[in-house]
Amino acid sequence: MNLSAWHDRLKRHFEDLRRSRSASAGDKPVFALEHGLSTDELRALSAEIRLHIANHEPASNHALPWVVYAAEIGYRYAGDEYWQTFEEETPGWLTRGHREWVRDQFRWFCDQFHGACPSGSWASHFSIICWPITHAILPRDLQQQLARILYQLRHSFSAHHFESPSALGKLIETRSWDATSRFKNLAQETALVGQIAAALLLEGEQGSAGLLLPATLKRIGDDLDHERRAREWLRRARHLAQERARFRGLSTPRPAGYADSSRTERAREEVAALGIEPRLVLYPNGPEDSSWDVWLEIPDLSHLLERFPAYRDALTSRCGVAGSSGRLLARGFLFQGKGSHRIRLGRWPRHDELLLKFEESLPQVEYLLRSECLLRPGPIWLFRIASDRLAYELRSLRVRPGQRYVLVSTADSIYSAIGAHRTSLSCEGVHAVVFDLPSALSQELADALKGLGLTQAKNIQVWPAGLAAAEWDGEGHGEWLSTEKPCIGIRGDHDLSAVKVAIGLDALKELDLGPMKSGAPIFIELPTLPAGAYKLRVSACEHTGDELLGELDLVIREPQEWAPGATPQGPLVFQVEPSVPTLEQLWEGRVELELHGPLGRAVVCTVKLFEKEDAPPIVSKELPPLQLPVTPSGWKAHFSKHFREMETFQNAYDASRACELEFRAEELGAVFLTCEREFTPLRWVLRREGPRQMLILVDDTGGSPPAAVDQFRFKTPDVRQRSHPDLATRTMEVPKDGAMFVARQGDSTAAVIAPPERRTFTKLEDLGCNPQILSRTRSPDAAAWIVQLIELWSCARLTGNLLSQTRQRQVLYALTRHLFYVLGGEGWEEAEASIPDGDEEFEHLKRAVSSKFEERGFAAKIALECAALMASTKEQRIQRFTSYARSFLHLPRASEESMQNIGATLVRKQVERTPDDPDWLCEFAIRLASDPTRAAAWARGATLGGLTKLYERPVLARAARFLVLAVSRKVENRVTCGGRLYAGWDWE
Amino acid sequence: MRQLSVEEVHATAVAELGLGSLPLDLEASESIAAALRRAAGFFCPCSARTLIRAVLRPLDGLVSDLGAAEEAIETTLDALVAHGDLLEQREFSVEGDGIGRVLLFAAPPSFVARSSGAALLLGITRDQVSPLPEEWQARIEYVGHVRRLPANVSESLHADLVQLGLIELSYKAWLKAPPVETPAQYLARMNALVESAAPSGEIPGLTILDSARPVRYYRGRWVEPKAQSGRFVARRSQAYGADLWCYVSLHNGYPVRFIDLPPSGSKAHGCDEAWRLQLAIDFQRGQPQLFMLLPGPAGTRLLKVFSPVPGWATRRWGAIGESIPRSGGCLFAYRLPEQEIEEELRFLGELWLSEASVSAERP
Repeated sequence: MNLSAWHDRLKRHFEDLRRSRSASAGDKPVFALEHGLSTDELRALSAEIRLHIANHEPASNHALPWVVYAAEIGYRYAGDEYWQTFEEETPGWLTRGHREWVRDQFRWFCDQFHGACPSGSWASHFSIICWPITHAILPRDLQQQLARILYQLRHSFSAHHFESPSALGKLIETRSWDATSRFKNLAQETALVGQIAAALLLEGEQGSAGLLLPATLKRIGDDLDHERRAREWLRRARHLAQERARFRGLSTPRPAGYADSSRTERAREEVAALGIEPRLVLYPNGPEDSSWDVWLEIPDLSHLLERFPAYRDALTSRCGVAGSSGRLLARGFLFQGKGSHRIRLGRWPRHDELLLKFEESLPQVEYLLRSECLLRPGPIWLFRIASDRLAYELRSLRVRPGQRYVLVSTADSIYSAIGAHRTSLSCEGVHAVVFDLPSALSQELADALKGLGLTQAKNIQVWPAGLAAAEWDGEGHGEWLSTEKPCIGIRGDHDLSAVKVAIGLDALKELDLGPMKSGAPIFIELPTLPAGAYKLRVSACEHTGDELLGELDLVIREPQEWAPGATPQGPLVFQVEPSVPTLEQLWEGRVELELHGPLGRAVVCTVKLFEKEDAPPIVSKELPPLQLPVTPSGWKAHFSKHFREMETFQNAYDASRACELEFRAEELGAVFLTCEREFTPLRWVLRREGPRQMLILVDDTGGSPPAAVDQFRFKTPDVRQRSHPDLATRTMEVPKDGAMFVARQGDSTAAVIAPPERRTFTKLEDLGCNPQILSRTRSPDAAAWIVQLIELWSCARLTGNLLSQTRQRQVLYALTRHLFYVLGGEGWEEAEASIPDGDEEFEHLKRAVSSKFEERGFAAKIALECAALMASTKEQRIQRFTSYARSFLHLPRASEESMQNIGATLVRKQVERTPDDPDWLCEFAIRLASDPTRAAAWARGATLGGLTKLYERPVLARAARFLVLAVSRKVENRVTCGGRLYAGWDWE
Repeated sequence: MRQLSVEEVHATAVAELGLGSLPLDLEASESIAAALRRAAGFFCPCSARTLIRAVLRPLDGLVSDLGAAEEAIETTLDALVAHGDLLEQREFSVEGDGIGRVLLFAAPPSFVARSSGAALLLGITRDQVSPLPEEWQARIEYVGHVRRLPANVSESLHADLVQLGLIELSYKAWLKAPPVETPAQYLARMNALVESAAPSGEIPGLTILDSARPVRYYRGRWVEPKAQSGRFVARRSQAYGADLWCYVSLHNGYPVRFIDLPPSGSKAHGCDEAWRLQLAIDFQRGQPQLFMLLPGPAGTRLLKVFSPVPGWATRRWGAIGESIPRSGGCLFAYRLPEQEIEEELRFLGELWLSEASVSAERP
């Protein structure tokens, strides 16, 4: 069959498909991958395409075979090089075809057959390849991730999600916060991804056939089946999805009064129904209940994220816990869906203090959390000491005779009336006593308890029967799973003629138990309940009406999925920041990785580098064992020494698309981390041909004319030279002494630092480099240009060869020094260039800060306080520096104009900080002097204004630089600098 | 909502534990083991007492003797630790302020491949009976605390388990057996360690395993020190968490020196080191601990042991044979293939156990 015949056949097929889709699924689009061809037919079609392009230009009357061919390559795409594969598999394309033509055919397809139309930011950044990849429906490398996310979300499905696939797509997008950047791109297209997911989940169900062509769906399902775990994930997700799609009303129950609530109140009620209130537990840390540690158990919060996707960025930012050591939890740590986390409190949180504080604070999030993430209001908190010696918080404040309790209070009272004695808490801000209740309470004791706000439990006892509840405080609060039928035991201490139990106020959920004999247990089984909070009431039926005997607070939560890796129940704790690091971040030491577990136990890390999806690793290296705990700095040093510094692995890194880290600690478990190369539309790939290094520019922006390329040499890092890659291959050779290459296309920029050829090093001094900034212009604009150059050099991608990083640092040091020449003048430049060896006190520099009598004290003060400043935090250093600047340079006081006296109360108005604000300017100066690579991002649009101010007040710039160099010199003697330019000045 | 009889509560709970196809109630060791694994998924890391409480409390009103149930739960919990479903480890703090309590952690889902192609399943998943597909869950064989998944001819069980994300433990790594030593060598090493420890003074909550008491009644050997002198395996209490295993030197009932078990550098659990130590002490005293070999069903022999032995021994027997309900006063029993007996007799000798005559078995 020739291409015209293929075109006609496919045209008939897609026309039919469009009609049937429109009839069965309304406006759901058609995908090119739904071509309905068999493997043999596809092979024949591809052969025809190749035959044609070998001699002729592609023609629009063959559009459909080409669209199918391009989508098929998209189906195999794994985020590396679409066009390279396309060109390699299609000899003749480079000379006769062009990319825009492919895009035009997809647009035509879209118009003709109501095809899927890519949209969103990824579609605008990858303006051509977005078409074949969208029409590939679900490229193979993303299938496993989609299966995992559907499995994680399975308990959140409702009929609504299958009636409106966009809603399902939105749910998937929210849950993809820890997926790869490629998957996030896919998830942006919520309507399309919802359609695909609904088709996969409802396969075989009535009405689902209209969502995707069954043959295509089967093909994707078969590919998923190759991976056992993905198959299982999808199978379990399907099971629930099909159940939920069939039966309406299985969504989270709405508490009474929901319909009348305002929108914000409804949101709060939804948060309350999630049952995410943290719980206090006291752990004994001394004999005879003499002292206790306070721990806060924070439940997994992943359902919070699913319910409120709009707050994803805030919720998945780093999080601090009120009253804890202040250490921030890694991004997404509380949202992994693996169970609750325990945090020790050294200070009792205030009654109005949110227990969880996200780094990216949002007023809406804080408002929502106020319903569940505060301690119960005091001034007393009651804990029952259980048989395992832990003291569990009783939110009901109900006591029972014969039990032992800890009473925590903000007041330092003795509570002698209840026979309490003091106990110690390793937590500031509260006091505690322990007391025992006798088996029969005297009236006096009962009154004393009442006076404290404690109530006596009724003469009825309820408990989880048969199996343990997921949580049970021993009195009246328990947690079960939505997949089980809770079984409850009830026992009274006297005969009752008739007893009934009810869930909430729902008359349909009532059960008459008949008479209850004293001491004889009765067991009831509750129905499976959707996730939410409920009350189980036990009442005695009397002639005069029902008397409430007791209540049980039930929280029903969805079960959490298991995934390989560390869990809060196991002996390994793994934290990584950022939560989904890229390959570049891993290689360049910008990943903070921690692994905790039993002290001293050995962990073996295996590093695997992958060049292709579905292919074995090109490198698999088992590193020497590490000992627990593995700290971020320990990991970086280990990875660097045993992997990154090896030439073989450096070369492999340049060719890799992903790296997999596997940490194994025998029976303690294993954790895994996959880092993929950053997915950007414009990027460089380094290839080696013998000693020569070739750079290939991968341009998926779809822009024209070809991207402009500039070259900056290490010796003259401020001089831009235009370069011209080979037009056909987009390849260029790296000069022997290396350079930075910068490509620009529209809004996209890609820079790479290519190192010198390895063979050029014959002498040790060859390893060095002395970058010279040729421009001698001094002005605020010149300073701004240097800041821009610094940003460009610092953002450039590094190759595997560590000389890339060395050269980058050398250039950044030179540019920073030059920036302070521009701001501080020639005298300062000379002083910085000639700091004598062993000048620990920096006398030479100190004198160069200012020769004016009234300003000399500024530098002297910094020098005098240097040791103390070194030991301080950055924030404290800034504060002190600003205070010295005010004293010695007579800067105005901070934001004086923002203070207003209203009546007797001094009110500080919220004013935006600008370069006119001395506090801002001092911090800006210190940031510029210590890490100019991030200073402009911090200053946002005020960089030029700030530079102008510093140019006009050079002593401030010089003093800031003096502070940075002096502290750095002292710190350097103790620690390695890591990824920072100046030791002791880490701004991340 | 419905009212259940006691029998119905047993049945629904057993089904919830994934054991619905077996004729079991909640007092069966298989059910207790499953209930402990389920509770561990909710509460670990925690003390043994927390897990025992979580499993015992729901039996209120369902069993005739809560005391006996508690003892059975404790025994099964020890077996789960020895088998590797639960890991006894010192607690650690992410913030670096070492806490140091010994707690139980849930082992990650793992397996040990057997030469028959079957797999011994280990580990715990929160909120789920198992991480395996449902059709596989139905194939799991439960014997006491041991779970074994037999292989089907049509599948590659090993590869599939790895693909599902279970961790493969080599047989050797799982056994964690120490190098072979004579009891004299081993005792000399441990005695030297305790004698070089600093003077201890009073040790709160100390109980000792009195070697002078009969070796066949393990629980009866635990006493509070009175006037004993010599070196003893012991446990000392901690504020929260399992009592710590130790080796203590006493003089007239007063502690002089002690070391915690396991000693530094040992990868064994504290209990394993302690039980090995007691085996050595009893052997050197001429009162070795006992085992018994009895005829079993076709091609098998029954091994009965009357005192706890280190986890690597029970793991080994669980791997080559199967755990069977205990009887006749033994602490645990295994059915072993006849062809393994010769090698196992050698192994029992290396454990410093002696064979008791069959006539010594209690009815």
